[in-house]
Amino acid sequence: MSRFRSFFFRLRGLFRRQSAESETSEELRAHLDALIDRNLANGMPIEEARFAALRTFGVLEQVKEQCRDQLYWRWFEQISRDLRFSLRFLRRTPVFTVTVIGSLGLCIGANTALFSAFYSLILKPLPFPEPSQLVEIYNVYPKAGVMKLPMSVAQYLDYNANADRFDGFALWAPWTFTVGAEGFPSRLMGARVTPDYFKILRVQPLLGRFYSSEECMPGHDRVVVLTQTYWERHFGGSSSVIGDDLRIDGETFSIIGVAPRSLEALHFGAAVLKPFEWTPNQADPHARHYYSNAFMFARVRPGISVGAAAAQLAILEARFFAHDTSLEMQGLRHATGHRVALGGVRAEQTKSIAQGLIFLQAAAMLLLVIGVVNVTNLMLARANARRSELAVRQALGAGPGALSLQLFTEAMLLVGASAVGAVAVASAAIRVLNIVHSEVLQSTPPITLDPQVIATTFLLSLLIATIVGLLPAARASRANLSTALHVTSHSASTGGRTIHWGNWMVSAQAGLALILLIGSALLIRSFVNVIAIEPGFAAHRFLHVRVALSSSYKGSANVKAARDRLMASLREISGVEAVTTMPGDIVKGLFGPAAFQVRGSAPGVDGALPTAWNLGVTPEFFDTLGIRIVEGRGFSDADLKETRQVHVVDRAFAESHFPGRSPVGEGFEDFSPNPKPEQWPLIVGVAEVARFTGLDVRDPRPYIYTASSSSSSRVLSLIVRTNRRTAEILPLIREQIRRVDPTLPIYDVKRLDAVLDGLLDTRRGVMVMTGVFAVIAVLLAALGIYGMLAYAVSQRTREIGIRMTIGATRRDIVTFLLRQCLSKVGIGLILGLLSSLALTGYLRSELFGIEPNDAATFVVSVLLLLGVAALAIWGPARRAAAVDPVITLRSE
Amino acid sequence: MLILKAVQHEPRHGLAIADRIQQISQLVLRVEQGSLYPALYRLEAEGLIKAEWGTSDTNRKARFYQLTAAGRKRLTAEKEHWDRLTAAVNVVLRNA
Repeated sequence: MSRFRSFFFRLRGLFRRQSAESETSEELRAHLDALIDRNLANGMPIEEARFAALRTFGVLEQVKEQCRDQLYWRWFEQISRDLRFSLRFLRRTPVFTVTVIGSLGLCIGANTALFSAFYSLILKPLPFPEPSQLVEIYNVYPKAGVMKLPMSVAQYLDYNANADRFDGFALWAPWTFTVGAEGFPSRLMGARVTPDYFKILRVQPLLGRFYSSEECMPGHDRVVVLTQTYWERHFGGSSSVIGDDLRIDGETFSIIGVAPRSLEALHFGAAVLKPFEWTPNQADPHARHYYSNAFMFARVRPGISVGAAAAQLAILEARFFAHDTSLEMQGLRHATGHRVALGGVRAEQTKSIAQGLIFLQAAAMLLLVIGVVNVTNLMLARANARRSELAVRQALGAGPGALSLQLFTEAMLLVGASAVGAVAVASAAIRVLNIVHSEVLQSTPPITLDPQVIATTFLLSLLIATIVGLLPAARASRANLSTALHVTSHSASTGGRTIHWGNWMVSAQAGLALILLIGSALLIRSFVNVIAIEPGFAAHRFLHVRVALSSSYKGSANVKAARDRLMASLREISGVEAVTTMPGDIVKGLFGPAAFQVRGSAPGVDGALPTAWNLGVTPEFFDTLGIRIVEGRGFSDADLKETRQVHVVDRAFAESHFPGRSPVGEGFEDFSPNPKPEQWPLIVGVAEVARFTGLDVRDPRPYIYTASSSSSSRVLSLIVRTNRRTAEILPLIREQIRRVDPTLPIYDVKRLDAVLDGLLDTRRGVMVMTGVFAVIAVLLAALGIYGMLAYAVSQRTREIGIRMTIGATRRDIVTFLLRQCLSKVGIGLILGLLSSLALTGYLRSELFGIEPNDAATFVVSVLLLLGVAALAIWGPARRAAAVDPVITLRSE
Repeated sequence: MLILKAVQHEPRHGLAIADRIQQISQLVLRVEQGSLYPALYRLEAEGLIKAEWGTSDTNRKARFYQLTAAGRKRLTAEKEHWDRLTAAVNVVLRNA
């Protein structure tokens, strides 16, 4: 209690320091005067009376000092004085101050930005209660090379009824739809979800209600829940929206509720949620592996491990195969090695970039270490240059503690300013990261600069300030007063210790910079290797445009007629050379790898089958894309009418499965339930290799093309080959499509080379950022070397002068300095080289067409750094050579 | 404790407190009067005494210190503690 009170007493004392000071003086003065009065009354002469009073009272200033201790904290006063002094000092050396704040701000900022990404995408818990219990469940067919496929309604029903280690399951499927008035249709993203979705996430409606399971029945599912963002953006957040109608794809839906924003953390960008409905066909237990069309989310029961939960699902899957003994299902199980897998919800979403992020974070940390070493070095050099100043202050009575505190305060100021700068750098960097992020990961919310991350940044800065400030402070407090005063600037050569420290740091910087440089060089060469790969078609000449036919086009005949009309109208445009349609995205699109067995061949060990990409294409596909048929023939319209399936394989397939002979006329084993002889799938031709799955696929699968009419889907992907520029041709394409049907929404307009390029975004991001880090690292190292040597030269002017008077030539001086400095850099480079050999192995997964210990890359990187080091040495060495011995010696 | 006791009955200023302490300690404790002030400020900070400006009997401005309720409590407690301590010391001395 009394400690608490005295805290406030002293706090108050701080603010009324002036008045407290004068009050104390007055009180003590009064006491003294009273004593003098008393002595005078006793008959003493005035002088004697004053002395006697002072004797009784004690030393006035000492008493005042002690009183101040009681009235307020004197350390506070001291710190504010240190702060003022430091500020003045830093203002007087602007180059030093800007260099330190700039380099540290950049290094810390890079770390803050990446850590923000890391935190937002990987570490940050989802905004739902007990997020660690939420999992995503998916099918894996390892032997067929399919590592993730959605789940089926049959599995959902089975799990819901029989898996008691879970608190619930939910299905989620993406849903794109058209809303808006005639003439201005727009295409939006949403989702079909089962009602348990809201239950397992434990969210409550912001407004209205969520739907019930009855509303998941086909025919009863014309209700929608809006997401908060869509509701605010398009309905102005009005609560009267409940019960209103919304026209979607030409049908009327009733708005029944608004979901809170937390939902969008899981599926960013969704506008509307509607009930997940299914047909009896899909719910049939035997359809388990046919209609895999929904993502499954679940909440594991508290106290049950994810492993135990997964084990229960494995039992249910095994039970299915025990019941369904059909040849087909047993074959599927055998050939694909099917199992279900569980993963954290967010972890599954960000799996593809997690490794790149970890790698970049490591690179940023390396950069930070270089920056800290650099700044420590600068601070040490400066503390050394200030030795005489510090010695004078020490002689005037400043204790070693006070001097250390002064140096530490300076470090705190510098690092504090850097931290503020770092947050600014980070928020700018995050804006750039988010542009890439929205291209690479579609459903995660953008990266934000969270308070947690900022707090971490400032904690990190505090740690850095301690390192950067304490080293010089420790040296200052050790400094011996008399020797420091004695040597000051008159030393013939600088104290061995500082130089030793500085050299060590130059080595460390060179080594660390080399590691970053080699890493980024490897990534750049990988990227060059990737973009040198030919996609197999002139991607820059193709434009992809997607349209969605509304439900008024009923039946496949109507859809086919609309498709033919669209293609015909597009062919009318001058500059359009060919048009075709595809069922899905042609590049990295809706096609997956499939297992196959060449007719007459035996399956591999434990029944594993080879896999290939299987792509259903229209007869005009090869012509339109300009993919050459090297053997046999392409598809014709007649193939679509045949019941027998025909295939075209690519050259890679022919070479690996039919070495030295022609695959035309050969075929595949028939896996259908009742295979008929003479109906086995036939290979009719061989096409040139084309890569639709991206360029940097490590061991590319061959392609099998299947003839397909693509008429059943109402969503049409039109591929247009043109010799005109996109900007010129696009308005014409839009106009022609409008002419066919003005209600058709046109979306996903992109050039195929841009799509292919987009697939490289993660790789490009990692490469560019590592490159930037490497450049900064090399610059910092050069700055460190330059600073160290420039400082050494300025300190050793006299030594150089003496050397020159006793016969050293200018060349000798330069060689001497060059050799001394390069040997330190050399030690660092050797250490960096060894570390790189050990570390680049971790990069292997990011590399393409290059080995982690590629000799040429290593040599070039070392030479580059040596060159930069030599440049950094050049300036100070020239200044040293320009020393005039007569002037130097006379000035002493 | 001596200071608290000195201002126990009436508000006193610094010189008067010094006089009083000298008087009750019967000149045994001779300290420099200046060192009184840091102690006074500390007690004030702890809230055991409070100070007001006033005019002394010799017509000078002076700060008068007086006991607060907390100070009174502390004085009683300290006195009890002291009594117990001296009693114990007495017992030890008598039995020795």
